[in-house]
Amino acid sequence: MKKLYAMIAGFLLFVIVVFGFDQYLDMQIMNNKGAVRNHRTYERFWSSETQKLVMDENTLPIFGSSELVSLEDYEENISSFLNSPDMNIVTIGGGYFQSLSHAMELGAISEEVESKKVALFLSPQWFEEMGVSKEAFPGRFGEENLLEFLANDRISDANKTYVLDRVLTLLEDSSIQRRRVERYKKAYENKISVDGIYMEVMHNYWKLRGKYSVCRQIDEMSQNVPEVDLKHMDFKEMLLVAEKQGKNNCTNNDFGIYDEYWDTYVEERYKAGEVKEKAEFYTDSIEYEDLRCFLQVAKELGIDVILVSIPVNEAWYIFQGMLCDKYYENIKMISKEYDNVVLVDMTKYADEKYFHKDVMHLGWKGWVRVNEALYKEFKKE
Amino acid sequence: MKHYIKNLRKNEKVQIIVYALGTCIICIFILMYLLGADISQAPTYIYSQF
Amino acid sequence: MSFYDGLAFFIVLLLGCIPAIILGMMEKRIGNYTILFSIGIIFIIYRETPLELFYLLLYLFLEWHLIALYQYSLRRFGRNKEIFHHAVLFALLPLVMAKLSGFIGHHWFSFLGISYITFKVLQIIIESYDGIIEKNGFSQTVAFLIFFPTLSSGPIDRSRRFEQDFARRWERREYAELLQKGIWKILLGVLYKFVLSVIAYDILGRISGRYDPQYVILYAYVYGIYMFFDFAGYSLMAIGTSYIFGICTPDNFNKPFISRDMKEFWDRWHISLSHWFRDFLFSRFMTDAIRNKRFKNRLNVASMGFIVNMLVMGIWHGLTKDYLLYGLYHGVLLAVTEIYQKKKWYRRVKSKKWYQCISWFVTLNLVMFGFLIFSGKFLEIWAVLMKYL
Repeated sequence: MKKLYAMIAGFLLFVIVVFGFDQYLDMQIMNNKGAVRNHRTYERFWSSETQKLVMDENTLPIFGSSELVSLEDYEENISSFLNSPDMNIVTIGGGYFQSLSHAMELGAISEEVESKKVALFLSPQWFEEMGVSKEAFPGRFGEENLLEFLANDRISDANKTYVLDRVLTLLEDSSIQRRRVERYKKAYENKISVDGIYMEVMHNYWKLRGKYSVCRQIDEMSQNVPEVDLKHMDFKEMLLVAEKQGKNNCTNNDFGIYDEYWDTYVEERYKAGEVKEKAEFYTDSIEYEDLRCFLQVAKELGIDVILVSIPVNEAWYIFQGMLCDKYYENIKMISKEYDNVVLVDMTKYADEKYFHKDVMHLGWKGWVRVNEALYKEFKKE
Repeated sequence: MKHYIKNLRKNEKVQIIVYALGTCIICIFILMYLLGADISQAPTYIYSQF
Repeated sequence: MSFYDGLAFFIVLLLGCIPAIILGMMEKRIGNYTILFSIGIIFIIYRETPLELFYLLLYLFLEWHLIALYQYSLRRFGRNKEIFHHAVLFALLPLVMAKLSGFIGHHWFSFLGISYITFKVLQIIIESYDGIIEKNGFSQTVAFLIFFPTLSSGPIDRSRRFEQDFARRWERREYAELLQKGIWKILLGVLYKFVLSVIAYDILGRISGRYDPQYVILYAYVYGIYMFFDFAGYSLMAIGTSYIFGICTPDNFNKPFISRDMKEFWDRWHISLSHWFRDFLFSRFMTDAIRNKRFKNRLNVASMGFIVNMLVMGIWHGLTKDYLLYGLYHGVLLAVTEIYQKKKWYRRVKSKKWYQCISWFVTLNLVMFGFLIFSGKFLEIWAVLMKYL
């Protein structure tokens, strides 16, 4: 009998240790808010608990994809940076993070978004016919976000069911993940069951694991996050700086593509010559439905969305025979369907040199324009 | 020495401490391993820039 | 979901243990609940593979009738060798069909646990023939055969020992001890199987492609460690669970790597299996061979017995070259052990510390080399070497 009590005591001690560990992780993250916000790794994107701990009333969460990665070079290019006393950002997403992932992430962190505003950077490349690729999705899927999303009472059943079914389709070839999500779906439909207990346990596991993964990365995070004064920023001046930076980095081509990228990816195709047949791209896609889901979810959560429509590098895309005007129209129309959406339409700069730094990602002038628009929209009442 | 260890093993107080701490430590080990292990085993997909 | 595999199983297990614990602490018999829960969890697990469920139920139906009929025939016609041999054959038939049909791409009679449940049926039949068992009660026998913790790969229990525990009503003090030991074993088993063996397996994956001698030696050792933690871990979880249900399933592993000779090793490694073969194959072979004077001297009988015994064990693992070689290897080692332990010099040195040290070291390496064979690595390297030459 005594040994049984001993083991029970031991287990209780274990529970206390885990609780203490959890508190320790929270403290670590909160002591490094700025650094964590600007640390762009999957572990941080996947840990909604972490994101919730590092946002404040001046935080604008930005959901996007590969263009966000370029924020690393802020030492060279101050225009791509948004960190000032009255506004800071937390970017969520990297390559192949699209509307579906962002809907889950939004649902997971919404209650801690004090500003009630988020930005969503839309890239045309998301809108392939089958939307986000089945090959890329499993490696970018964050279960914690899905579970928090499902636990958010303000989101409708319709949207939750939509997201679950989409995720299951995309996880078709990733059996271990898919089987877990199948259980989550069963648990969602039937909360009091073995699957319900399973989901609860897994949910808590992911939350702890998420914070632990981020804390392990704290040592490699940059502690020096430069601050700028956005209120008094002379954006016209910044555009001139950006123009100069663009010119310096793009010397071997006329498309405003930086040299290394031109050499590695573009030169061959350029030599193949211009594509005479032009066609509209990105007009038919499941991504539109995923986007609508994101916007609906935002509406249900009382969140205003600053929808940033990023164009392609028009000079290059036309050379490749790809037109996106219909796509730009589609996004404009969708933004009008929701009253909690403000469209920041960057498509008028599609042909501006140095707006992009390569064929699709925001570059020197692009970031200046986007930053200015974001600051303005964020500060608007 | 052998007798000392043998007596120690039979000592009830020692047993209680061993089971209590043992339970705690083994649970910690298992949890730490699970927190670090790759339980997703998602197929990797390295995308091309272009 | 499968036995001891995945969080969902452990949740079901935890929920299932609660009534057992309540019954045990209230000093009531757990037996009926054990049968109920075993049936329940079998349906939950085998539901995903309906064909296997069908084979399992069919197997139970046929084998129960075999046992009942055979025991009836013993009462009616007495001890008849031909009938006994036929009974053994019928008991083995499903397993043989399952193993052989694999070669032609089918899975007749194949279900998870068939290899282990066959041992239980054979044991009942053989002990009936020997007159040790008279009659098997239906519910006790079914409980013995489908006892869920040991169904898929668990230690091989014996029916009489099982039925004693199964019928028993534990005092609270006794049950609390079982519960504590059971939980401890499960905890240890989880550590072994899900942490330590996985770590070992990871290491294996990293050194698998290298054929340099030091890596091969390392591979053998790590494979042995992996095998131990994987199987001992699984056995611990199964045994711990059975304790919670009031059944003291015997241990399956007992510090095997401290063994000082091969005989001791098989008393410490997969104990339930080696003891089963010892009691029902080896000893029968011995009595048969001695009675019919098939061999020149007793030493040859024993050595032959070990080889036959281990070879069958190897075949039981699977009909592949690796397993056959593994069985043969251990058979030969045991035969050699039997021979040298009868020598005069052995009697002189066996109590000396230095001899025991050497003996331990040699045994350990022989064991690890055996695992190299078991893993398939040995024949793989052999093939590579042959190509080279």
